[in-house]
This record gives sequence, structure tokens and C-alpha cells, in this order.
Amino acid sequence: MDTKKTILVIEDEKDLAEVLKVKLEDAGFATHVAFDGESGLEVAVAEHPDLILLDIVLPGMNGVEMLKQLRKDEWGKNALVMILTNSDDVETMSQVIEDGAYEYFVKTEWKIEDIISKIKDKLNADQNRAVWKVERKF
Amino acid sequence: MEESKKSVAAIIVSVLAFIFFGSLLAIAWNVAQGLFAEGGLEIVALKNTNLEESLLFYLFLVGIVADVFFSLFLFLLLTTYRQAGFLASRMTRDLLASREMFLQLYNNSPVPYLLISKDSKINLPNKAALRLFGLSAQELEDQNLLDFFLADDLDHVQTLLSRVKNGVPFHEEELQIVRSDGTVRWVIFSMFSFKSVPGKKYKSGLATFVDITERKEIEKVKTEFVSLAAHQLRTPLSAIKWYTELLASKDVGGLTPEQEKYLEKVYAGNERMIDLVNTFLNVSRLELGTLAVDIKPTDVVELMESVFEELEVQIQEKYFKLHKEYDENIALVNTDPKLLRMVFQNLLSNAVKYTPKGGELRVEIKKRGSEFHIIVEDSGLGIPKNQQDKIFTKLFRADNARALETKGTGLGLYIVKMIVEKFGGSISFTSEPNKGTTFKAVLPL
Repeated sequence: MDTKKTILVIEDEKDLAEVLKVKLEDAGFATHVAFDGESGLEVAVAEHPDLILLDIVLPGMNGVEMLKQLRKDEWGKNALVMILTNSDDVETMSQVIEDGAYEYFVKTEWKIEDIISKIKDKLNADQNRAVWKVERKF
Repeated sequence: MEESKKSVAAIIVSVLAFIFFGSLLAIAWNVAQGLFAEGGLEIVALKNTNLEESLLFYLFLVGIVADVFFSLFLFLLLTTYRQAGFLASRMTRDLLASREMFLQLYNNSPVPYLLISKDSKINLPNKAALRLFGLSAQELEDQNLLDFFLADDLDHVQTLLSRVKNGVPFHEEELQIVRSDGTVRWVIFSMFSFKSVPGKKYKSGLATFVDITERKEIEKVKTEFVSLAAHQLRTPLSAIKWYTELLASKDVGGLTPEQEKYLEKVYAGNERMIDLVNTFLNVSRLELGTLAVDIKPTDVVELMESVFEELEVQIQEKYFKLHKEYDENIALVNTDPKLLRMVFQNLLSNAVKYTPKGGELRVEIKKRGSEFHIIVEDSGLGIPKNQQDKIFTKLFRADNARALETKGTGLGLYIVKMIVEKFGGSISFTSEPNKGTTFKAVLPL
């Protein structure tokens, strides 16, 4: 059974969240959308998405803080997190990279299509590695 | 009043001297006459004309002339003496006044002044200097000037001071000093050394500090505002970018060719705005010093080539003759590729933009000792002679560049200069209007 990969979009700008959701679903992903850090964390821990697209500037708990909390969770400590934001100051970048975000994208610099192909590359690579690991076992 | 009295006195003394010596002469003459005359002492007219009497008469005449000259000499001597005294007292007074004026100017100037001895000791701080450093005259006197600078700036300050010792003054160095209460102030530091002051054995320099902390704070607030505004602009710019992309992808219905064409224009306009915002952000980061420098081994030739690729379309459109000269022995250079890329992009895109069709472009990267040189030469518009000194100024655009191309922020070369200086290098250029411009950046390896 080929289940759809799930992406959680944590983005407080509703218009941006919407267009991301539309494009991601067109590309064959299932999506969850959260508009702030707290609810994003809740959804993440409950739904275990395959990848989280995380904004930094969020009302209440911001992206940096949300990532820190996520890493405390048993599942969350290895969750795939890609930062998609417009704040690109060095401090934030080094902080989230330290907390294991594997990509850092500035929104204005990326087309959604290119973001999606990056996501696909990452998820496929991880899947292949998983398959390869399984094969090695037997 | 005093002077005229003295003049009258000199005249009176001279006249009295004239009468006195005249009388002596008359008496002497009479005595002499008496010796020759038979009738003893009596006033005699010129009645006898013998030789002795004639001789006496001439002697008498000479006596009168001598008396006149003597009195005149006395008069002149007195007058000169009087004038010399007058001159001396006036000069002494002027000298005291000018010294007093100098001291008042020095002490009350709003600009902090310090005399700095050869071994960097502070002497004679004025009132403004005491206010700036937050110390009393006794506390500041004889302290080492170097103790008031930040540790990071010490090498630079020492270089400056040794330059002054060799007779080379410096102006407008923006530095920070630490006050007695630990607070830090931004100052413009200038200094020159006195060229052999007569009577002064020690050689010292005059240091001035202009407090620009407030200006720096205002600049910072302005820059932070630009940074904040640019960040805020990025959200709507992302929305335009992504929704234009969504429409153009036809996922939400087809477009007519015309609609598609116009949508491309919307997209291109938005991309230009994103570029502008990025430029503003880079400038504010460079100004605030919040741009992290990430030094790593970088292939500078490859970096230059990738910038050429970016500009390929524009270069081909203009049929440029390209000359590339890359030193073969230039291996990996320790630098920040992102920042160096901005330098290459700005220099090269300017050359492309401001050189007419069929022109020539020459790019050279070469190694020279512990430095590497980047030379970008074009056969374009050139920079007008009277505007060459402003070319690295923020927001400045030369008239001929503005006339040719209305786009452009006047930030490119400003960014280039800031980055090159951040790397510890320097940038210079030569330019001939309508013949071309050559930029040369010298960077440490």
C-alpha cells in the first residue's frame, strides 16, 4: 500500500500557508497546517509527519523554540525539519542548525516547485537508505 | 595721552640741553675772548680781526653747530628709547593676551584636546577632554593614552601613534574609547605632532577627539529600521512570488499567451524588488556588523567564472570582447565566498551595464606575494572626473550612469568597498570618461 507522505506546514501567514498547501497536495503529499508554534508542536507529536516545514517568526512560541521542544520528544528528536522563513540572521540560522534542522530556506529566494523537489529528494534518499538498511539485514 | 606727555618731555629736555650747552659755550667764548682782550672779561663784538679772534669765532660757530646736533641727537635718543620701551611693553602685553586667548580657547573648546608625549602619556587635557573621559585633570594627567582604547583596536592605534611620531598626521579615525565609568563612546580621533616649538625640548602631538556616539546611535537606528522594513517586505514579496508561480503553473486553470506574458512581467518585477530588499539587508548588515564572515578555502577563479555565467545573457547581447587572465599558481584562497561573490557581481555587472555594445572587458586575477589582485577593466562610459571622489559613497550614482540607466541603487560600489575593507584589503580605480574604467581590489591571501 503506497501511503502518501505527510508534510506539516507551520506558517502564521495564512496566504503563504495556503499556497504551500495547494502546491504540496498537487505534488502528491498529504498536509497538515498549523499557524503557530504551540499548535504546530501538538500536531507534530500527534501525527508524526514525514517532514516539517517550519517558519521562524511565529506568534507565541517561535520556530527556534518550537524546534527545541520538539527535540525533547521521543519521536521528535529525529523528525525531519526544514526551515522556511524570511529571517536569515546568523544567530537564528546557527541556532536551528545546531538543533538539527537540515535545510534553511529563505522564502523569497525559492520557488515552491524547487522547495518541493528538495523535499522529494530528501524523502526519497531517506527511503532508499531505509530500504538499503533493510536489505542488509537479511 | 601718556605718549604725548613723553614726547613733550623729550622736547623740553632737548631744548634745555641746547640752552645749557649754548650757555656753556657762550661763557667759554667770553672767557676765551677775555684771555686775548686787554680789558679782561667783557662781552665783545667782532671789532678786532686778528687771527686769534677769527679762529675763535669759527670755533664758536662749530660749537653752536655741535650744540644743535647734540641737542638733536639727545632728542632722537630720547624719542627712540621712549618708542622702544613703548614697543616692548605693547609686545609683552600682546603676547600675554595671545597666550591668555590661546589658553582660554584650548581649555574651553568644546572639542577635547590632549597633548600626547612621545611615550603616549597624556598632558594638559582640556575641560572637554575631562568631560569625555570622566576624570579630573590630576587623574588624567600622565596616564597612558593607550589604556583608554578597546583591546581590539590597540594595534591600529599604535600604528597611528607611530605614524604621528614620524611626522605624519592622521584625521577622522573612527574609534571607541572607554570612559572611567566603563561606558564606551564613539569618537573621531585626529592627531598631529608639533614641528619643533622653540624652547620646548619634548616632542609631542595634539590629539583631538570628537564625540560621535549620538550620530552612531542615530545611524544604527536608521540601519535597524531599514533592516526591519526589508524583513517585513519579504512576506508580501513571498506571497506575490508564490501565487504568481501558482498561476503560471496552470494548476489552477490555463492562461492565454497574453496573460502568461503579463504574469511573467509581474514575476520579474517582484524578483527585482526581492533583489533590492536583499541589497538593503546586506548594506544594513555590513553597517551593523551583523554579517557573519564565513572564511573557507575558496577557488576564486571558479567563483569569478560562476559570476560570468550569471551574466552570460547580457554579455552575449552586447558582443563584448572578453579577456580573462587568471594566474595559474592561484590555488585556494581563504575567504568568504558569499561576500567575495558580491564583490565580483557588483564589479562585473557594472562593467557590463556601463559598456556599450562591442566593447571590451578584461578580468584579471593574480597572486602577488601575500596578496591577490582582482582587476576588472572595461571600455565603457567612465566616471566623470569631478565625481570620482564620490564613487564609493552610499547611494551615489554618477551623472552619466544615471542618464544611461535609471535602475540602480548607488549601493553596489559602497558594498564592494565595505566588503573589501572587511577582508583587510583595499580598492582603487582609474577612469577616463568615454574610454573606460579599471577597478583593482587588493586582498590578503
